[in-house]
Amino acid sequence: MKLRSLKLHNVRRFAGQTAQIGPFGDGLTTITAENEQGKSTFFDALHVLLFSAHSSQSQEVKSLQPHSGGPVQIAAEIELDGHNYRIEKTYLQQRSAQVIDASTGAIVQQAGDAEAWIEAHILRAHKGPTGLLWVRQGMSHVDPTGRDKDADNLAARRDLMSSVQGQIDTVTGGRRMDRIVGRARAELDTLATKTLRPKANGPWKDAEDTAEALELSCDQLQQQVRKLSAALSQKRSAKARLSALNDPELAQTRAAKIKAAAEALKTAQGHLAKLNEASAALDLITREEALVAQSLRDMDAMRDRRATLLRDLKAQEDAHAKATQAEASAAQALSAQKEKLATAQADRQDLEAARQAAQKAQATAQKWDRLRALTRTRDALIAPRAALQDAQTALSTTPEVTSADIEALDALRISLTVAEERHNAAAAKVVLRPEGHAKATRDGALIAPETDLPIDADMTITLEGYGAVRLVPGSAADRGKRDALRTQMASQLAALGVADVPAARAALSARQEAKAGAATARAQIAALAPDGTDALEATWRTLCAELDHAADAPLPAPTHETQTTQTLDQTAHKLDAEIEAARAPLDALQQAVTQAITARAKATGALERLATEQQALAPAPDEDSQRTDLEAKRTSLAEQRAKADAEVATLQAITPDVSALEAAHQRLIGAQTADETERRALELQLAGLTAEIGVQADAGVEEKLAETEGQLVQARTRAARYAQEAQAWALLIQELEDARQAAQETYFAPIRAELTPLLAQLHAGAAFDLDPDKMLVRSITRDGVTDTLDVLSGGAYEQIAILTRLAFARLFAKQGQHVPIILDDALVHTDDARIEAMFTMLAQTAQNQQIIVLSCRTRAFSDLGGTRAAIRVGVN
Amino acid sequence: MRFLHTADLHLAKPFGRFDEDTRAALRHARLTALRAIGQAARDHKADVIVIAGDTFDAETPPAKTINRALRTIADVPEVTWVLMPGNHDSLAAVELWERIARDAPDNLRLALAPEVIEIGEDVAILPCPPTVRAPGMDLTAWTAQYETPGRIRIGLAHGGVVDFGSEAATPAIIPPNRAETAGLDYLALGDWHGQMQLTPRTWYAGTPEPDSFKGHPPAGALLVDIPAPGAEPVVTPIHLGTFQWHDLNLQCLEGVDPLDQLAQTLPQKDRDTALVKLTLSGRLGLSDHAALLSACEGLREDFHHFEVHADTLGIAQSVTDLDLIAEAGALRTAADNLMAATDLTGRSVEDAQVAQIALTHLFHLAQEDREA
Repeated sequence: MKLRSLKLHNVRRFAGQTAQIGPFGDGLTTITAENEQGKSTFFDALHVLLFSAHSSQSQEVKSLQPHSGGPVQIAAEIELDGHNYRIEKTYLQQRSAQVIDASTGAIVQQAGDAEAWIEAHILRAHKGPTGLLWVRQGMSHVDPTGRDKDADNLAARRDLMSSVQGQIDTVTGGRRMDRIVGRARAELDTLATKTLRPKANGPWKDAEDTAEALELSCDQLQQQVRKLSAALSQKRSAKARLSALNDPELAQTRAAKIKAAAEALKTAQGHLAKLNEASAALDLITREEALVAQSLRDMDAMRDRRATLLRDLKAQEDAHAKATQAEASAAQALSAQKEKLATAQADRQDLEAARQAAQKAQATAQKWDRLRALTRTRDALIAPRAALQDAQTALSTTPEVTSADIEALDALRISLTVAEERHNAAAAKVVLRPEGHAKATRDGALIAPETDLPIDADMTITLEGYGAVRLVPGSAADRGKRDALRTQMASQLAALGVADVPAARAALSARQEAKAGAATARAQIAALAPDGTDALEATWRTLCAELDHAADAPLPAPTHETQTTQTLDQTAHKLDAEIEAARAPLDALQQAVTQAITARAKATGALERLATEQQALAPAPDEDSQRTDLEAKRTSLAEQRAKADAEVATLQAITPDVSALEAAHQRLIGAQTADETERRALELQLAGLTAEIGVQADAGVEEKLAETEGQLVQARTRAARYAQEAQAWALLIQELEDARQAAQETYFAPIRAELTPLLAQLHAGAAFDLDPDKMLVRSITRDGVTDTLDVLSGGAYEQIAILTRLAFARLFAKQGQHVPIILDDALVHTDDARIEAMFTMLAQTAQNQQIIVLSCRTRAFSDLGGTRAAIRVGVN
Repeated sequence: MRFLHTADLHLAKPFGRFDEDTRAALRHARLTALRAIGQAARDHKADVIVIAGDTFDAETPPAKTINRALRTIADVPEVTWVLMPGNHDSLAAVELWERIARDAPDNLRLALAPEVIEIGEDVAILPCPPTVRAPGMDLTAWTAQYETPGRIRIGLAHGGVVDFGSEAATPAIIPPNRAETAGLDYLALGDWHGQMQLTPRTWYAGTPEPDSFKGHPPAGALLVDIPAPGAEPVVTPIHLGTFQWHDLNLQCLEGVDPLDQLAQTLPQKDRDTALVKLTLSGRLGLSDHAALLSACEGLREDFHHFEVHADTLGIAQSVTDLDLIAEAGALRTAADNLMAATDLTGRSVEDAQVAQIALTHLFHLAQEDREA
């Protein structure tokens, strides 16, 4: 298809106007115009004409209507397989569509049929809008990462994809392939995970889980069945054993055996009793025989002993006499020595008493000395203590006047005297000159005659014989100060507790004297009693008590010792040595005495013993006849013993082994008891096993196991089927994707061949990778560096986008399909050097290809060449 | 003397691999079979029923099963039932036999020892009960040593007979000529679930209710007439059983409509009491393959149990089938590759099966997509 011209009426800015571009030649046509001249309007209108039915109310169609409204009319002249057609459509109002044979003017199709014609001849016949391969302004910038939600991106891609989709679909399976792969994926997804494992909540997993649960149940049931089987087996053995135990024949045989054994045992026991009797008789004879023999031996021994005794008695009597003599002499020596020692010890005791008495007297004398000294000190203390007492009494009774107080009083007195003098000098005076001895008194006090009596206060003078004269002072200048000073004086004296200043002085003097006296007394007391008078007093009283001395009694005069303790000590040492010397031989003497006594006692004891023995061993009168009897008895007993021996030997020979018979009997009884015990145990065991088996049997474990095993086989089969299904789906998906991939590769080979030389003109030696899904270059490799399209500059990006379209166009052209390329404000990012190369490639492609370039860059595109066309407005 | 010979009832057999309804039905059918035996004895005026082992499937069947069985026996009081253990319910099942002995009705005689059981004046039954599941010896030997003058001698045993194909006879196996060597008028055998005559005097009764797809002859019991000691018995099979077990094979042939083949293979009657195991083999084109499996799926509800084994059914290469997926392009390439992968040459059966399933899925998805 080739586009020849395009005509619009009442479209956007061409409201109420007709605008037209064309004619377009076979090769390159350029239309350069300023922005807002309506280039894009033509572009959009062409898109609507081809892709939107005349009945469409789509946004795309509405966007073409001017603000003033009215029908939108679009017409295009095209050449198709050597014929020229005009397609005319009116949208929104007075809607219509027509396809007109341009050479004859005849209507080929109209309305719906016209739409069908377009669909059949332009869109579907070439398996895509082969009439168009366009690049719009700003839309060359297709994002290769393919965010298809982006409407612009999708639209731009659709421009390209839609032109080749049909062919691609045929080769790659297209949307049918997509749907089938999608279905297969959905099926696999319900079964398996991405790693082809059973998927949670899916039927495969369910089957696997079921199989696993059943396996577990089987294991448990098998255990129960084994247990049951074991119980049955045990029960069988127990029953067999019990049955054997209950065999009456066995019981009969056993009873007979026990009876026989008991009888044999009884007989043997009879024999044994006889043997025991014989043995006992023999034993008796043997013992009697031994007794007789012993009696005879005793008689012989007694005779020998009697002789020995006589010799021993004599020897002991000699020893006794000798010992008695030795004892006497030793005792004498010991007694003498003891006397000597006693004398020395008595002397020593006397001396010790004397020495102790001397020591005691000496101590008492010392105490008396001390008491006397203390008494003296006490006496000496009486005076200073009294002085101290007096001083303290004086201090406590004398007013506390200090020298400062005296000084203050003196100063005050001087001021007062001055004040009084002044006052007196200033005050009115009265001088009494009595006649005769008449007396005048004031307040009872006699007033001296011829003396100035100042009237310093309201005063009444009593005149003898006359009566009272009241004198009232007038106002005098210094009276106030004098009164004040007087008051001050009076109050100070009152504060000190004295009547007047001399009294104060006397008090001060008395205090100072008392203080000095007290200090002196204290010093004396301290010198006499450094530890204090209380301590001294306590010591004194203690000594009085010890010496039994009344406090107020006179002290005795001191005495003098007649004999010193030293002399006594010397005497004591001397006596001690004497005592030691007397004591030294005592032990030896005592030992000699003891030895003599012991020897005598021994001899006495021996004599007594021998005498007793001699008495005891005195021969009986019939001793000889007794002996004869005994010898005769011994002979008789020897004969009896020989006889008894023979009898025992005979019995022993015929008595059976009773212990063996007893053991045999016990063994049989034991076996019988053991059988009984075992029988009871078996009955118990059987009861237990019966109960256990009953429980398991009631639960039907064998049946359940068989059933569960069957179900397990089923579940495993089912799981295996699902596994196989999952593998099959995975295989199918793999095969489909592999085939699609291979198909895409096959399809892209010619495009690659077309694109390679074009790209080489821009980027010499560059290799590129095509994205089969997006029909775009995905990445480009230059000088060993691979860049994905999105990191390229805007210029490089749009150049590659345009070259990709040129490649498609060239491919279509070679297949005999002419495809117009429309570039609307493309190459806006391309620099001058590259734009030349792009122009050359456009021109080169335009040799076999209709290319329509719309641009606002009049100057930059002036070098593009080709036919120039313009937008004409207002032309019908 | 007329008696009924049966064996291998396997009461309480669990049938674990079936769904719950089928399991219950199959178990119930075995009790029904016991009742049917009683009824058959009554109908044919038999005096005695001998059960040659495996009345119960396990050593400890549920109490209710035992009780129901005993009640069923008691319900036919005019017949004497002789019950002998088999290998499944051998004497090792002490509990079972104690319980039965305790609760046995008057008309039930238990053959729990190799001792003669006298029936009336004329008949001696010589039972050989298995002591354990695998006794390891021929338990019938004693019958040859024991004489029963003037009585009809009926041996009762459970187990396999000598396999003449094997190199040496196992001593644990019953000699097939035991009846003759022991002077038995009839040897009633149990263990083999199909009815089978070994000698004129030796029979396996088979199970009265089939229990597997092993393809035994029709189930039932044997009615045996012995006029007098030494006379040859007259044995009449009596058909019993509720369910039919069909183990069927369908060999698919190219050029033959598999649905026609399917219709011809499957039983037409009594489908509600039929259990079918259908094994598909051969090769089919994708569309026929899909159609056959779909048809099988549709038949599932017709039968009491219907299972299809299609592992051995291959896919035949067919351009038409592949065209139904896609005539060209990537889908066709994938289909071609999968078809190639179904070929066993150079790959395991499992891999080929996976490829076959994948191809079938592709076919279905392509068809559905086209229809949509």
